[in-house]
Amino acid sequence: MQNLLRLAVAALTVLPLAACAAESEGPVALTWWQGPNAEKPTRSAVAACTRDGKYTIKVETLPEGSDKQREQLVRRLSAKDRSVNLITMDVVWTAEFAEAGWILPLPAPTAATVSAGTLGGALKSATWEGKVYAAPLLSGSQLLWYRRSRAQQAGIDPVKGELTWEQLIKAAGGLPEGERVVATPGNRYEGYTVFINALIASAGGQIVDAQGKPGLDSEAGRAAAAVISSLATGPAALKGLSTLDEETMRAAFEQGEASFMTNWGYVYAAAAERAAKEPAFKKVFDDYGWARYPRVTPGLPSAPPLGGSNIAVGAGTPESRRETAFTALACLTSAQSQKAFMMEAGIPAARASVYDDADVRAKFPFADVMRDSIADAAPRPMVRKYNALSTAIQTAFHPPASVTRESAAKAGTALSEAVSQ
Amino acid sequence: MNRARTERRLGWLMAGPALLLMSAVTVVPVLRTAWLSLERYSLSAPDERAFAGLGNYGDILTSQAWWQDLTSTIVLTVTGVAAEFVLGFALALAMHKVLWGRRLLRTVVLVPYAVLTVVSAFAFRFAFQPSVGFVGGDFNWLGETWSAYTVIVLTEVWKTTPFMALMLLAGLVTVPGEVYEAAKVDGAGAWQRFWRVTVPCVRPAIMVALLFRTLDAFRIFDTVYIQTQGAVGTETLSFLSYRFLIRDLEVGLGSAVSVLLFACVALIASGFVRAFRSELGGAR
Repeated sequence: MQNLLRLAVAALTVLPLAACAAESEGPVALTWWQGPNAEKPTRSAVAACTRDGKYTIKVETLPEGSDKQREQLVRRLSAKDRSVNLITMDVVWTAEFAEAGWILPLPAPTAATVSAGTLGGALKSATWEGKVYAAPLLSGSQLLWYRRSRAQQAGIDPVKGELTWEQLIKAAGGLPEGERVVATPGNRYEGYTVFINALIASAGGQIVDAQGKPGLDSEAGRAAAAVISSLATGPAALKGLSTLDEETMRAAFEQGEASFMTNWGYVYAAAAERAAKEPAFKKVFDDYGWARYPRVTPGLPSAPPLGGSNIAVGAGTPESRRETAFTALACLTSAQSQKAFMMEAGIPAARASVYDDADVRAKFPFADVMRDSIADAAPRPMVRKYNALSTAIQTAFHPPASVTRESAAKAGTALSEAVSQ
Repeated sequence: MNRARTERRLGWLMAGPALLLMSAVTVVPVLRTAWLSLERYSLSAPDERAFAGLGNYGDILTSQAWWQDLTSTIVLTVTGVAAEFVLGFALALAMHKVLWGRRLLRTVVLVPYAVLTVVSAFAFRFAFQPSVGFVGGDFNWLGETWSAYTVIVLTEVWKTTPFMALMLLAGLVTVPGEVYEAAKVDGAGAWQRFWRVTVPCVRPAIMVALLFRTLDAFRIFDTVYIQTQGAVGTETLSFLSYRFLIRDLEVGLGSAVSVLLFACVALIASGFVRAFRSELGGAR
């Protein structure tokens, strides 16, 4: 009996010690909350960064779509979840997450590593009130995609990147029935805000200025509304415009109903894949042309939409793991890692040097246009209540066919109401 | 006397744990929501949390969104429940009267009810997609207000008519056959028998079916979420509360919308119960 008791006491004192030792000696365990669309490059990035065994990264896959990803993340973040260490964030979340204290600003050395060589637009999207809060992993801008033969037939040459929406709609409208559509986002969703923001920025305006004042009720706002109106009611209108999103635009463009569309870079990779499988589609793919996003004002270079994702460190990460988390963040967003994402998932990199890589240039013939487009892109407004703001804009400009020049002022009012509530 | 008291105490003791559990999972969240609705509280600005009194209610009741969403919710509820009631009654009568293949009919009628709302919402969305959808044509059904309402109501009707039919069938079964025989002997035609015998006899079942469905329909969310995301004026009150709570992280405002929604539902229910009571009183 006495022996048994002694054994029990010994076990009770030793076991916790053993557990302790295991925790302090082993590699630091990090969890990365990542989107679902780039499994292969994610795995190889994790493998490359954890090769020396100093830390481990467990990948938690978030649902499809940035709205749903945000819904999941914010609940964990506001509950100070200790397992949210590395977060893949949509470019528009930075202000909200930083303001709420959910993500940590990068320490100066990490910020320097991250900033060096990262394209302007992408870096801006990771910065809030002068501090870098995240490292751009992927970026992307929309280009004007067109069928070369049809553009020629319509008598325009978009390559120079000086085409205005007005010229584009007029020329496309002259094409035969069933080919004359200019496809743009029109559904009530985040992509529609992306579109409206790009139009307003291209006209030289801002949805919200640096002081947080709405700038919709302005010449730029009215010019943007006029473009939407002529897209929806002009000769190049698509019947289903009010429910059009990236994927339905791509379908209309591949099928041929649309001869022009504004869309992200992935449409090229998707078309290349289809052309490899379907010989009949090869001819269409070879006809693909790309150019800088159209202008709103003739003399003013366009401000293309900016997308992409940044990696940040969650504020719930225990003190002892933070330094490692920042090291991992810098590694995951290195040029090498970004190249792998670009090559394997077709999503453009945020670092300029990747675009000079020979493999990348061979696979993405539009690399130069994309890089310049990202560098000059107009980020969406950086405000804490971004979500409410975006909903207000989408609602005020939807459906596209109802938009008039006056919609801009109406949207301005709705926006102030949404942000002040 | 003493025994009655002991029994009552035993009753409380036996019901007590269940009562506690029920209040833990229902009363506590309800009270918490009511309390939160009095606060200005946004998850993304935890430091700015403050007591706001009835401020949130004021903001909501003066906003355009609330009234617009209330209207769309009422339109969807009334049109949906009315259509379900007419179709459901016809189906219930058919299930009741048919002699051959009754079992098969009852099973077939119930199938849509077994389908998840999300699944049926997707099915109808795909069916009404321009050019590729099963409905055909290149009209953009979910892109215009009236047609989007039509699709949403159709989805709801398809999905919940079986429930209505089942509730009404339960009422029909309780009507004794002699009443019909007596009516027949008295020379009542089929139409008269329906209006003068069937309807009055199943009135309680009608009330219950309408009450359940109205309360359910008033909280419509899934179909709208899947089919339009609240676009083209189809946003409902539940969707508004979701938008505030989950998307905008405005816990205070969202809770206030939930409380108001709860009040609407309570109002509908009490209206029905009152009507129901006077019905029973009249029948007595």
